[in-house]
Amino acid sequence: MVRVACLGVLILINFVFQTTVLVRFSILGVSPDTAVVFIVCYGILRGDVEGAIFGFFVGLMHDVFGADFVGIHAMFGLLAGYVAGKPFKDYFKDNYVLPFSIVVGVVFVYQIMMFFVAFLFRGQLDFLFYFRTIVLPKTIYTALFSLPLYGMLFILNAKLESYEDDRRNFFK
Amino acid sequence: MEFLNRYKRAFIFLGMAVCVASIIFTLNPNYSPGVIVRSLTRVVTPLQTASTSVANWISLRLSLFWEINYIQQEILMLREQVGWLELENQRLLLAGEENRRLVELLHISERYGELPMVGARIIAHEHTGWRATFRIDQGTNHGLERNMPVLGPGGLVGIIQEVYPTSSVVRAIIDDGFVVAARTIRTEDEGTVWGDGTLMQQGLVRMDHISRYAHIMVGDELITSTISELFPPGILIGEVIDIQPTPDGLAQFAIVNPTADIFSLEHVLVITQTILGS
Repeated sequence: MVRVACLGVLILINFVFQTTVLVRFSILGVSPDTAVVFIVCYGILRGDVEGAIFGFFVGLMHDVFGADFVGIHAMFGLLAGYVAGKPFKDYFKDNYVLPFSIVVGVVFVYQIMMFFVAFLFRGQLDFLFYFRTIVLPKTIYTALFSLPLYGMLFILNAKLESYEDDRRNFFK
Repeated sequence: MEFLNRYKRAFIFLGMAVCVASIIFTLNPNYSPGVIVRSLTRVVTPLQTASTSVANWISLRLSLFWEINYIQQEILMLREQVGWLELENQRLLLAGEENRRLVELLHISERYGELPMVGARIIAHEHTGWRATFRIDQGTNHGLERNMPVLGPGGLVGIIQEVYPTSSVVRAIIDDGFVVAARTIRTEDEGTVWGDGTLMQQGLVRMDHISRYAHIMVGDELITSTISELFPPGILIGEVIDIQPTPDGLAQFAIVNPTADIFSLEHVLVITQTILGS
């Protein structure tokens, strides 16, 4: 329950921060997509199913407030969390190289999928242009945020896990 | 949780199916946000307002340190400009007086001044690079509705896309998918002004469907056309900065620089009258 409340507040803060503060730091017209970073990092820390649930709700938040139609970010968030949590059992959580590379990969694919859904289906065929001006800068800019945010989420998750362990022992 | 882990695949497919269903369900252009969304905006809007105010305050204080030299130069430049503008102003006062008399003579009421308007503050930018929308702090409680035109300093800024009780989402003129019927002031050539994704980041828009025989020129100013269904006629849109023939040679298209600077907006005006409704 505490975990759900914490993550809810995290989603809310991230959304407000992303739409009011981070847009002020746009470079080349793109602002970093910290929501995807959080989804991926959470998937890495807690496994595919929880990553997918978290991604779904983060995406839903962005859908409800920004997009033309509801569901597209929720679906991509769900997939991103699921994919990022796949190799969950295979490596150490305090290694920073893997989260970084997974964030880069997922943001890259996420943006390309956004292009397909939001633009290509409406007849905007100039893929290379969008690749150069949105997908690539956005991937690089978002990747810069991945390590600090992963560190933050790692600490939050450790706190939550130790809290949950305490409660489990209490009732045993 | 164990249950979910056991039926992982089925769970993921179910989630995706729910998403696809909701996309199809909300693709309807007349879709209006439900109770849950509206109550969520009541939580988020004040937070965004507060966050924007704080960010504005801090960036103002910081910019004082960074830009002091620039500000001094600007003051000198502005002083000179004020002198010129005073001259210009006197000339325009005379022209305005003459215009008023001519208007009275023709019995045309001034449409621009009569439109009811509401001021609003931009509290969040929801553009992700793919979209250009922003959120303002006025909503249905203040009499706003969908499809109301939004003006900024200089001219047209966008149109209201969604309304909530205390806030609404504005689709900016540069957003890919924005459309308005336009005409040039000088030659009265009709065309359609579109937001174009490839021009979005430069803050430009595109005017299509200009006749091959239209004598449109670089520097021509565009206003909203009388055939527009959503916008009152005569709102300034922008200035033509480039004209090219379409690849098939049957028409021309123009690149247009909107008069209102979309990226540095803080306040906008909403015309609280929809043409379709009236």
